Amino acid sequence: MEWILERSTPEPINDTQLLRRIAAGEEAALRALFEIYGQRMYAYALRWMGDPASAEDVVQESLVTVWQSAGRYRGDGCPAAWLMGIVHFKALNALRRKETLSLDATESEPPAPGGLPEEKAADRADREAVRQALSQLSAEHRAVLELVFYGGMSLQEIADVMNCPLGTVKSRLAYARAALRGYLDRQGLREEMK
Amino acid sequence: MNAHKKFRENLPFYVSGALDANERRALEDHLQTCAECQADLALWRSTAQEVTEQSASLQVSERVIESALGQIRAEQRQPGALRRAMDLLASQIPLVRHEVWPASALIFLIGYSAAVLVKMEFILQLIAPMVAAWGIAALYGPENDQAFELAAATPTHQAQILLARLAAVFGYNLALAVTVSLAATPFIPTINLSGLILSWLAPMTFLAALALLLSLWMSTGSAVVIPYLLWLGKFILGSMLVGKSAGPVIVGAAAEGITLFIRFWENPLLLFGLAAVLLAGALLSLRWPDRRLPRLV
Repeated sequence: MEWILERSTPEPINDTQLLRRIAAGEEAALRALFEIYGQRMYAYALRWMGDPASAEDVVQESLVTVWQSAGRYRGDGCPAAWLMGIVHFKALNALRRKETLSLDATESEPPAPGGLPEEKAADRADREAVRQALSQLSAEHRAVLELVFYGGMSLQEIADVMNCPLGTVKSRLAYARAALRGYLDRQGLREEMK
Repeated sequence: MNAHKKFRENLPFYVSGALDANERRALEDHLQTCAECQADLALWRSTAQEVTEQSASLQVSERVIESALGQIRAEQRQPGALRRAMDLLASQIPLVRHEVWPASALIFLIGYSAAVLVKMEFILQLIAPMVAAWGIAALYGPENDQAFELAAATPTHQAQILLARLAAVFGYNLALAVTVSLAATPFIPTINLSGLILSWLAPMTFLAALALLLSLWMSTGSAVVIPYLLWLGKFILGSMLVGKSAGPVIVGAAAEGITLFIRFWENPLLLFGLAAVLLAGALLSLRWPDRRLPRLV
């Protein structure tokens, strides 16, 4: 069906083998893991952190943790979910540190999608509206969408990554849907009023 | 669950391709007749397209993996916890007052000689806690000494420095006490080695911890005198309680108090427990730079 996204999910068996090689101390395996998942890890970290430098720090810390704990991965569950769970944990820790360090920072603005290229001139108005609607979402709702659409994960895998019940993932998705719909409807009303 | 609600929850996963074949077919059937889900599907499609395009356009720098590998290599070069502990222990030995080492050994040698000559293990029981208390009392004073300044200038926490030095001196005295107890065994027929070691080990630990706390809060002199008075009091008061020819010197309530005091020294669990409390108190008090009690000596 044309609506279904095309995405390339690496073979789980390869991921498991990579983790075994990392556990054995093979640096090349960590590089290979970064080749496969680096961008996905970075994109997810960026949704939480809001700025590229902090997101890179989170990915770096996550890679170090993967190196240290790959031996503890038992192969029960998706390696990608295990990996993104580490990124999730590191991002939340970094956010807590950030909040502690800058108590007086203004946080009313939702994190902008940093590091994005200039949009093409041919982009349609509804694309811009969706982009605006996405930028209104909180980091946790935006992060769920990242895991669903860019991570290609199932409901259970997302719950594993975010270390929360299935119901919480469902309610975050429902909230994101309502918020996106509400924003787009308001935009539509404004256009009609012009 | 309401079938429509279930289909609605599945829509994002339908778009992402994470549904299995059965779920996908069922949802496609439902979509034929449900206008609300069709509208939601359009919304999720736009959202998915935007999310994937935004994320796919991101470039993660190669320096992230290089920095991570650099951090991993740096951490691997650091010595392990045991090695760090041994280094810290070794670094503290030259900082302990130099006279502690030969003096402790000399007292043990004299005690050993006396015990063997008069064939009384009681002498070893008496001196082991006293030497330990003296050694620990001389570890650290509330006054700033050269060792303190050096320790304060290192990145190691003050409590770790104190523990390392405590371990070095206490370990040395413990080794001496065990050595003389073992060496005395062939020469004293009545000796019971395990009983002898237990009779000095628990008081030795308690008095060493007390001496440490007092040396931090009062002075080295007080940290020697108070534990010595307590320990010698056990023997002096004990002898008054058990008179040989003329009967007990002390009777009544005072005698009961003294009996309790003597039993205190014969209760290893209580002594080890109190030693742990005193040690914890000493380490916690390091955070309190203005700690001072009147010095007795």
